[in-house]
Amino acid sequence: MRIPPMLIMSPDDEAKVTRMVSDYKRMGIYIDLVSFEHSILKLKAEQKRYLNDKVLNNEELIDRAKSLFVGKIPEGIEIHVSPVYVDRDELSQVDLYYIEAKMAELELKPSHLCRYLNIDKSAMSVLLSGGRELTKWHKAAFYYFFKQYSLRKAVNSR
Amino acid sequence: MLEKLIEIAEANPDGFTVRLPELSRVTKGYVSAYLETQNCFNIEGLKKALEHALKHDNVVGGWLNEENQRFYFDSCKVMYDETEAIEFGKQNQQIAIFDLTNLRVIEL
Repeated sequence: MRIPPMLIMSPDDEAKVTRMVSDYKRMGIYIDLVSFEHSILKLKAEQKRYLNDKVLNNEELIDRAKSLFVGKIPEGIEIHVSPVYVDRDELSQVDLYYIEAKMAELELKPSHLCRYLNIDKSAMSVLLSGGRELTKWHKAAFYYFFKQYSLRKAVNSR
Repeated sequence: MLEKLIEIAEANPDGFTVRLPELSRVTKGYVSAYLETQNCFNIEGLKKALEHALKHDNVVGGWLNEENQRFYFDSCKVMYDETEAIEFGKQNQQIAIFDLTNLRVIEL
């Protein structure tokens, strides 16, 4: 995390924050600085990997991010944290290649998708063969299905 | 085992903590690195961290230092009492320890 010079912190504190951001990444929690202006420090926090069966809620993500800076920045600076639950970049990249890759990664067959998404075989076959363009709703459905399936698989593998 | 750890590091560029020899992820407890494996990076650093881990708690970790883009390795100890872990971390001059059960970094 690049600390903006206007956010006056001691070199020691900067080093600590940088190190702890790395430590959180090691646990699958990504904390990024969005902006610092008008005495407001904006951060975003996202749990991208599920190390154990612990899924952090909004409050916990906000707490993790804020705790990095508490006691290290001048008084009067507000810390605003946006917890992120959807990776918009990833969502926008959902296409047939993405679906194929996720199916391979999660060892899913088209019949599994039919069952979990309650879509009949012929409709699924048309979608997966490119016979019908994926709508935003299709993309969102696949994105969230793979996300929750991945989490469930990680939890069940413990 | 060295080669396997290198593979794990490459597959987990944002960091990892694994138990030896099975190379399973450590998912619970409080984790602190040992002082003796500070500043261990690249293959030589991994060898040092691995050697230390095999003689101590059989836990090796890796993390990316974003300032210098070096991937560091450390030998770690896993504890299940927060007070003990904090004390151990301070004795080993750590900036912080991890609470892997609650996914929390505890600054020292």
